[in-house]
Amino acid sequence: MVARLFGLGSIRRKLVLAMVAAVVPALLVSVWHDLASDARTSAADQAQHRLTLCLSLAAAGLGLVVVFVAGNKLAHPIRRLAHAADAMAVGDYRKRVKVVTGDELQALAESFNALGRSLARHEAAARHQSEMLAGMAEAARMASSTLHLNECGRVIAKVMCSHLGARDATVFRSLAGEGEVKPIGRCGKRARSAWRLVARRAVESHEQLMISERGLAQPGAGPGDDAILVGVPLSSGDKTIGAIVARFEGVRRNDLQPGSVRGDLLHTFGVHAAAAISNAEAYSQSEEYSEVLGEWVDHLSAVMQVADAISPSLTLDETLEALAKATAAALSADLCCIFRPDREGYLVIRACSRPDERLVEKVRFRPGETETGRAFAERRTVLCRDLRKSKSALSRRLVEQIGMRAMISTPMVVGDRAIGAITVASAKPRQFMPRDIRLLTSISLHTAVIVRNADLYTREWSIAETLQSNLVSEAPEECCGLRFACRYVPAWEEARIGGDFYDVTPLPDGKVAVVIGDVSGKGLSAAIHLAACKYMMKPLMFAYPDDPAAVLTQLNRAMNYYFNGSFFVTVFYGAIDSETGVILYANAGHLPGILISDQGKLHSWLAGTGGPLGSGENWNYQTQQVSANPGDVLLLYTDGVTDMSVGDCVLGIEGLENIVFEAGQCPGSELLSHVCNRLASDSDSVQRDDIALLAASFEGVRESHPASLGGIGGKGSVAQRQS
Amino acid sequence: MEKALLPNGSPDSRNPGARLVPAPENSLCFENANGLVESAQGLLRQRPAEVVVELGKVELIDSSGLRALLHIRRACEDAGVLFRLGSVSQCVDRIIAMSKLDSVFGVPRPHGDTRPAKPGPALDLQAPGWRIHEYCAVSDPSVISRLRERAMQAAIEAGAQGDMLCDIQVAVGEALTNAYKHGSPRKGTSQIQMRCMSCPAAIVVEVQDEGPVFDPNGASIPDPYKMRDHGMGIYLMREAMDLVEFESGCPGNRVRMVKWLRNGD
Repeated sequence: MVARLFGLGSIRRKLVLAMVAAVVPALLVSVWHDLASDARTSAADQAQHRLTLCLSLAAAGLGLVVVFVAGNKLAHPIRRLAHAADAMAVGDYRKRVKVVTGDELQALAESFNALGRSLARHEAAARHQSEMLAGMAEAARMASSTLHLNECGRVIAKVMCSHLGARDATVFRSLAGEGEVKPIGRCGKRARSAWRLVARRAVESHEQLMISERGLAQPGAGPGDDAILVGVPLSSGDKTIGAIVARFEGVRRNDLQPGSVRGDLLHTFGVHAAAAISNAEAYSQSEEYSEVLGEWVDHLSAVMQVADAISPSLTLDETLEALAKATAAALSADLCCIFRPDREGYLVIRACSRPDERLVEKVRFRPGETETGRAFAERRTVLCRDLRKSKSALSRRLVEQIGMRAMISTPMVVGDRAIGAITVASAKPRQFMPRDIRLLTSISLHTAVIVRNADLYTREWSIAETLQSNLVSEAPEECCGLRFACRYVPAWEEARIGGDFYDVTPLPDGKVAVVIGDVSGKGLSAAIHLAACKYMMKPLMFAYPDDPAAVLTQLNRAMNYYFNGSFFVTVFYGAIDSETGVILYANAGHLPGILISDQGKLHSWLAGTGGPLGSGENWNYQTQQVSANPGDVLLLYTDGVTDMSVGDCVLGIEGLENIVFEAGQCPGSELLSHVCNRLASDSDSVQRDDIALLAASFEGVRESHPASLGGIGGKGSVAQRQS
Repeated sequence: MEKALLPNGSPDSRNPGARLVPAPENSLCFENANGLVESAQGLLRQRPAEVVVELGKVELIDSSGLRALLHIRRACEDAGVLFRLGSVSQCVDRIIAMSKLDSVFGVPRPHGDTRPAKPGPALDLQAPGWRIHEYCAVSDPSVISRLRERAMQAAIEAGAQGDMLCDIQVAVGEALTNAYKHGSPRKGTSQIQMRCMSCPAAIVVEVQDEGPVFDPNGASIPDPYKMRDHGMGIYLMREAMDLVEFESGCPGNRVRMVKWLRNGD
């Protein structure tokens, strides 16, 4: 409490207390000595003793003062050290303590100051490191979020300078397979050729390397500034995709060595940067793909749009018009015309997206004239951005008349021959893009094929149709006492002439020959074979009026001989005597003729015993005989009828029989009407092939005797008859 | 066709008490058997001493005709009237014997061989050389006799004669009657198909209908005292032909009947 009263620190207090403890007993001893001697000694002695006591007291007092001052002097630096230590404890490493006592305290203070300095340095390093780390994280984020490769390279180089202390930096990407590198981004000075070397070496070694610029003997490097080049490999997975070369100035080698803070940071940054570059590349690749893909999808969808416009059921003119419209739409153009040369060689509009008679009249030119004429003549695509500036006077004149300013024309080429041209025009000046050219070229190629095929087809079809219409002439309504009815229903969806035919020929002895047949194949060849078959048969009919089997056997031999099995034909041939109602018939692989008798309730099938004619085999056909009564009808048909599909099923002979039974007993013409109506009325039915129907009605024949029916019993094959 | 031979109930010249039941000409079959029963019943009401059914002009009788005769015979028995068959054609005689009814009707057993011929060689219906006649008809009673005639023509054409023709005719008639009665779910529109094929060795007749599946083995030997509605037809077919095969689900039913053509016939 006394010490506190004096405001003494703990050291001073202890010194004073020690002083007091040392002086007070001495004083007490001397006082006791005085009191004891007072009784025994003289006054002089007593006075001397009193003096001694006073002196002792004074000395003690002086001692106390000295101790107080000394204690104070000792405690002051210690208190300052304590203050400084307190400051250090809260992170202030700048406090230094100055003690010039020359004793242990001074040494202590110096040690303390050294500690403070060291701590301050470490703190600075740690702060620097965390700053760099933060910067690097930011840099990595930036680099990762940059999806363009060069942009990514620039960001990486910039981060190298701004956050990692490089003066200049260049990012190199190694080129696939060549060991070469190319810069993709830089910061500061342009990379020198030696940098490329450093980058290559970093890529090859997969390790961070450090070279002094002076060591490289760079001409630009002055003797003073020994800058350091660091090559940081960009390692992505197990391969190195490039390197960053950074130039550091004023940084010690040790600070860049692997193991040092900055050295390790550089390495880590290299890994991040590599990932960022990989990302950017993958993205740009996918972007590239998607761009290419998008272009293709556009192209394809446009072509498909055009293709969709073409329906197989359309005629060529309709098809071309649909094509022109779809093409104009696909190219967002105002007009699309398909040109074809006419008989005089002029190019004329064959189809147009905008049906316009005036246009068709006006636009007519020779090959070589105008852009379209040039496209046709030179067999190449011709563009014109503004027709008002066209070299062709005709084109410039047409601009005014038609009102089109820009155009593109591609030829329709088949083999090495142009068969027409497609011209797409726009009402405003327009630069047609490569995409438009590609699209139009595609369309014109397809159109050329369509037009060519249609040309060939039309030619063949018209020949085949002419042939067939002459071959399948109408049967006479009445011939030799029989009434005839016939139908020919082409399968339009098939759109090719079939080989069905029928024929009614009066024979010399009053009989009538009835033929129905079906030649294999379709089109022109079928028509030609049909003609051959029909006209080879005629003389044979006259040669063997009583023997249909002989007619077919001879015809079969002839056809096998001449055509060598290249086609075959199924034939029903009957020779009918209308007087007696006797039908002599032979059937070469054809569907059975149906003799409808007994009020339409009984059908006799006139089937055959041999295969088709011309199939290469020598069949032994047989003449068979049936008799018809008045009111009976002989129905002949081709497989177009029985092959018709009704719903999921094929009609078949049974189906036809049902229809014929429905009709009951009626004349041939009514029967055919009934059959055709029934076939046409069924919405499920699909006609796949041409249909030929021939009906012969026995009206004026004598009632035949049943006995005569069996009269031909035992009649053998043709061969037997001939022998 | 059903023209009566004599006026109904005309007296027999040999027996004044007897009355003749006029049988139809040509055939006593499915289509006209009922008519015969009706005229016999009409005759019975006149209480004659004897009923004579004259079958001299009947060329063909089938199971329906036989059943009609059995009916008349029983009716006569019930009425206490004598029953007798008049003259019988060769074919009818043969068929009555075939159906084991010869003793019932008191007809002498014919001289000819009524037993079926021995099985012949295997048939290859796909081989060339068959003469084929095919028919398709609506299921109508009038069509049956037509088809039977066509089958006869085919048999004649193939060279069948005499008893053989009779056998083929009765068998085909039975097959067609079955097709009409049991194999035509829609009378008048269902189809019956017949195919006659002949070669020097055999005659094959196939009849196909649209009927449901049935068991041909249910047929048995006819018993004159048990009047069965069916079964006799198939029995007769098997007796008359050398080979009878049934096939179901083709679709409908198909019966194929084969008669061997013997040398010398």
